Amino acid sequence: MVATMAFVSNDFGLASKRGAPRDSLSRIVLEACVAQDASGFRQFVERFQRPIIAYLARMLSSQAPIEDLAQDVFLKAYRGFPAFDPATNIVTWIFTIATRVALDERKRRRISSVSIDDAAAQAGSDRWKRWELQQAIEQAAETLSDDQRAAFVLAEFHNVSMEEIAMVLGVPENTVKTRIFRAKERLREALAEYREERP
Amino acid sequence: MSEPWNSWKAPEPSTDFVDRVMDRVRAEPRPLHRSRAPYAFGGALALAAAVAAVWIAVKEPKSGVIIADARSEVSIGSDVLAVAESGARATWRSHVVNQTAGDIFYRVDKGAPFEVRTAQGIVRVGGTCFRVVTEPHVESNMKNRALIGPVVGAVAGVALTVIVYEGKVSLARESKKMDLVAGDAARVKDGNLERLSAAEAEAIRRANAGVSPRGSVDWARTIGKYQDQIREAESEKERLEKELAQARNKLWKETDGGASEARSEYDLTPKDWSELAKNGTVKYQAPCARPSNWKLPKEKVIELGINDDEAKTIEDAYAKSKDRLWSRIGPLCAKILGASAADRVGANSCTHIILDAEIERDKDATEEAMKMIGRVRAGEAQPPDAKSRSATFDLFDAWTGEQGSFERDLATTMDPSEARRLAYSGDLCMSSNTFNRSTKRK
Repeated sequence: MVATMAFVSNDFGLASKRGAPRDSLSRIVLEACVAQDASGFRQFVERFQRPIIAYLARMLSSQAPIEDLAQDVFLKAYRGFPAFDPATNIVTWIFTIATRVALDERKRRRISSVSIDDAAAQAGSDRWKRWELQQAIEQAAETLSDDQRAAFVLAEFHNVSMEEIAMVLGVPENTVKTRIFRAKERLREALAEYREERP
Repeated sequence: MSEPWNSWKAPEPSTDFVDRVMDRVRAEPRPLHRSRAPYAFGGALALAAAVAAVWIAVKEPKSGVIIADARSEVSIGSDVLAVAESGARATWRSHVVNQTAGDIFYRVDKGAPFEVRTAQGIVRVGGTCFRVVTEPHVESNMKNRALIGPVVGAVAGVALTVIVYEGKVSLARESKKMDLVAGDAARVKDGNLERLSAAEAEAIRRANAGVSPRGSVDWARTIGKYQDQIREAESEKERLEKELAQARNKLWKETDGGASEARSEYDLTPKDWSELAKNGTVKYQAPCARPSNWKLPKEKVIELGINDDEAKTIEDAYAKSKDRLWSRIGPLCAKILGASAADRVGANSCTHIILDAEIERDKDATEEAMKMIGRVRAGEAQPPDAKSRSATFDLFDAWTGEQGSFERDLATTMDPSEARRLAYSGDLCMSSNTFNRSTKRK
């Protein structure tokens, strides 16, 4: 039996690996958004809701009010659209807004990830193992700095280029590369036991 | 090689996420809505009573004219508010204002590019509060006529005073430039930039207060007609809005509890439950789990149009809901994980863990318990006695009854129909789930 709202397999989440399309919105839709036209903006939200929710979830934790924060991101986008230059990369723009929201929330809340103890491991089912791995990843991600985490998540799960990440975070490209490299190193170390079990 | 973080899942958006975002967009304050700007502007006219203004383009208010015969508030685009004193004159297009006369205070949202041009110089800002005062003179010493707006061409300021209240602005005159921060004031006169003390700036401002340039009488008359038309339109709009609200209210009352298109899919009737019971489907909606001492965001309070007491009722109802659910689900989960782990996992994850354990224990009994939930909710069967209840039944009994309890908590201080509307309208954060036996886990 499966719950419809459980954490389900992601799509945009693994964009870079599954080759999910990175099509931009049509120019007409974008211009409608700039004019704050409701139907145009609705298409924009429909297009970006999944990547933004996925990004916020990985930047924060499953305990954070992700959808509320995602709504904040889109509301900020709506307010900012009149000043949006259509020549700007829309992906970079919306992820920049999402990054600010996520980092503000992290500073505000000092989110702590869920931890599990040995007693919990007795459940032993496949679902439990998947859940345990999910928690272990979240815990490991908590050991990254905010900037490392943002760079890593954008590159690894959202198919955002180094150049674009550099624009989102406002740092040089080389700094982005270093942060991603260090983030991966740290995660590999923290998740070593899970890595060995996988093919 | 597969990296372990490839298994890092992310949640899917709720099915109504886009609708919720659009609801918030529609609830945006009017001055921020371009599409509503004509109404907002009309309201400003009614309040100020004497502002004279004409939209250059009503459908796309990206430009306009300010001719103030009394202190008046005008929204310029979505992120600038101007308070024009009597006698102020300006035209604006997008983020550029040509101020030709008078005293105008500007509040610019942070990050918004904005420029005020006068005959004596240009003020550039990015998020601040400042005031521009032009001193009226017959044009005689204008070096930059190209910057003068088309409407009040006969009159232009020959001295410019800028007073900064917040943030930072840059004042430019030809090749000269001066940066001003909060508390600073400066003046451009005869082409020279000079800093002023606060007292000097205030004295200039007062000396120029209420000075009306000549030649505006006809404009004021013409615009008076527009004012009347706008007031009529406002009045008609208010009447239609009232009628719409009444019609909506009536529809809601008529459909309350019955089968209708307006009813939430989680607002289930006994008939719905009877149908769900046939294949053992359990669906429910319950308030999102909120952290301790959680407060309803101020933005949401405004969006819902509720007062502080009602906001407190909602906050309390969320807290009670979380405690109530955990008091029933927590012990079931603790039997599987232990109390310490169960506490950390929370009600939603525990639900899956309990259900997994139940299926592994006895799949058929689990399905039967899910059917029983439907039958009990449909009024077709009595709940099993406490001793023979399974964990599955207890689990779903807690979840499927929660929205009703939440609604009752809201109704302790709210009108019952409003409590029902809030519980099911999607205005508040709800977690919804559907479990059935059609998709079996291997």
